[in-house]
Amino acid sequence: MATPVERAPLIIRPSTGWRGLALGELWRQRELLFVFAWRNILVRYKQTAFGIAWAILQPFFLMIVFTLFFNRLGDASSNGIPYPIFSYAGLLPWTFFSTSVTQSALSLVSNQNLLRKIYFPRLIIPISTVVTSLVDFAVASTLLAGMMLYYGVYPEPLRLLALPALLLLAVATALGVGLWLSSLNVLYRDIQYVVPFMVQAWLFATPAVYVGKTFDEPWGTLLGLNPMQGVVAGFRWALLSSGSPPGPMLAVSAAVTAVILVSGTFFFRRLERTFADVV
Amino acid sequence: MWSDSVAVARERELAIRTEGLRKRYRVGRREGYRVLRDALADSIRAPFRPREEREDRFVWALDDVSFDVGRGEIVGVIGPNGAGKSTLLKVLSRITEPTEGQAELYGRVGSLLEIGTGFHLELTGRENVFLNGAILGMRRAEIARKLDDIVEFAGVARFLDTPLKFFSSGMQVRLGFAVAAFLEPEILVVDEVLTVGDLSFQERSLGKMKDVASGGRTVLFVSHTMSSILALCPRSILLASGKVLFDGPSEEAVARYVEASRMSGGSWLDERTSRTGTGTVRVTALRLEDADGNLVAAPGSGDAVRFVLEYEANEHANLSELVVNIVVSEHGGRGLLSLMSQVSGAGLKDAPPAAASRASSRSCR
Repeated sequence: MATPVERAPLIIRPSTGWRGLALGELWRQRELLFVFAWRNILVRYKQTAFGIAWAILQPFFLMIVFTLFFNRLGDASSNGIPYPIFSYAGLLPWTFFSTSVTQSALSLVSNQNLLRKIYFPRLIIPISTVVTSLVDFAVASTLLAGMMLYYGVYPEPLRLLALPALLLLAVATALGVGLWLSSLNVLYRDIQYVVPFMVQAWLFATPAVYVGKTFDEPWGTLLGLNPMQGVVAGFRWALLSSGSPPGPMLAVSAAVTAVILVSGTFFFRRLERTFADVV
Repeated sequence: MWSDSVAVARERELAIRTEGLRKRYRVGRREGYRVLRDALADSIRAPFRPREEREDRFVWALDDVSFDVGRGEIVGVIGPNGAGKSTLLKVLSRITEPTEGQAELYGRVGSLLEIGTGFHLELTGRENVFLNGAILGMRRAEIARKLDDIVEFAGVARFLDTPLKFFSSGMQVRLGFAVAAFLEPEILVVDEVLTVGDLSFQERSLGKMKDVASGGRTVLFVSHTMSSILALCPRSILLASGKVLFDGPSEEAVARYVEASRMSGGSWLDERTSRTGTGTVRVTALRLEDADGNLVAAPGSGDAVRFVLEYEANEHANLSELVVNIVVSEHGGRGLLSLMSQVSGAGLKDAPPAAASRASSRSCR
């Protein structure tokens, strides 16, 4: 048996005010994070006939619906790009974002039994739901690749390098919003009724399925206050060479996301100590 | 400041130290749980209402709890419901923060407040072992190495790849206990978990706990089963209303607990009003005595005790066929001992109308 290592004792005492983020502990427990993500993936598609194919089917059906009603029956244009691929390129990051936010907002309450019975860094729970959505995103991306081949829309290779950064922006935004909502939902269950409405309104505010109007500066740049605007515009620019490079807008988005993520993490850590008593 | 603590810890090989731990909960609605409307309403009303917090709206689940546990000690925690036992474990396992005071833990802590925490019914037995093990703090490689032992201990090898929802409830708890049994922390904090499973599994569980205990680990063990406490823990802490009433040898702690619960909960037999039967014979008192006739509150393991039963009977009752049967059962209702007068052949022919009947037992374990 391993000999006990001499080390500083673990001191448990009441904490007050804002707390540090304890990211070191989070890093040491990263394995648990992936176990939770793995569990979420397994559980999400258990006893479904299509299994993980749902990761593709959900944005696919959305794309069909929007193509039918916005493009064919309505008059949504798509900047000369086939509308299905135009909307799918927007729906891909959007679906990642909306499932991440929805699932992570509910994550603490749906794992309340764990909160009451065992200790681990609570940040793991919302983070793991975002990781789970990333897997869905990866699966759903394969359909986009297929559609690009089918429609003969080829990206400029160099622009693809922007995708990881754009995805990172989407991840950070989803996590930031998820941290705020999940911890608030522990206190006020009202949140879970607000989230679906909020996500839907956010979808309409983001030109994922339509071509956004072009605004004069500085208004065009300020659209980046909605970080998903920057992400969606960036995805289209990188994949479909549609629109102008969203540089300044992305800078605004990144700044907004940084604020949401950092404040969300501190807020979460502050409320964390009451989770087990309140949930 | 903690450098002093470390020095002391080395000196005494300290594993756990708590100093003035207090934990306050709000009574009535659960702390902070409310809908947004309430919060808004409160903030609107607030200016017209005195702001002071009324003390009677709170309860101290832990009230100035201080104790030390040395490395390798097995300490029981006993007390009535609501005494603060589970709150103490929750504070020590960092699930909830104390309101005041502090605790120091020297070594890797594993806590087991529930069997099968995080089990998911849709996942297979194998998947759940990995999930539960990770939640309890095991590394994946460690779980993989112990998987065979865990499965064998739980006795569910055939169902390993079956979803948990098709397990019987007994199989589920056995699997949960098995995972926990192979946890190897330096300090183990355990809530009532030995009462799961059937009789033979309970015995294996108790044996496993003894192994854990003798392996040099520090264990803090909450139980309502006094026999488990006496079997496992040389020392016990008796809690009541959040305070430490007694901290010392388990025999004495258990005796005090039994005494205290009789004072508060139990009523004297002769004052009891909820009786069934014809009332021809009424039992008025039952007590335990040692060989010298002294009252015994909680007999120690291996002690000889005498059961003294007092009764009164109708004047005209025919007591020539009186049969007395004393059954001792455990907290969970599991029978331990049965003393029957017709088996022992004790002479109860023509018993007097009111007297004390004595039966002896040497097998009080």
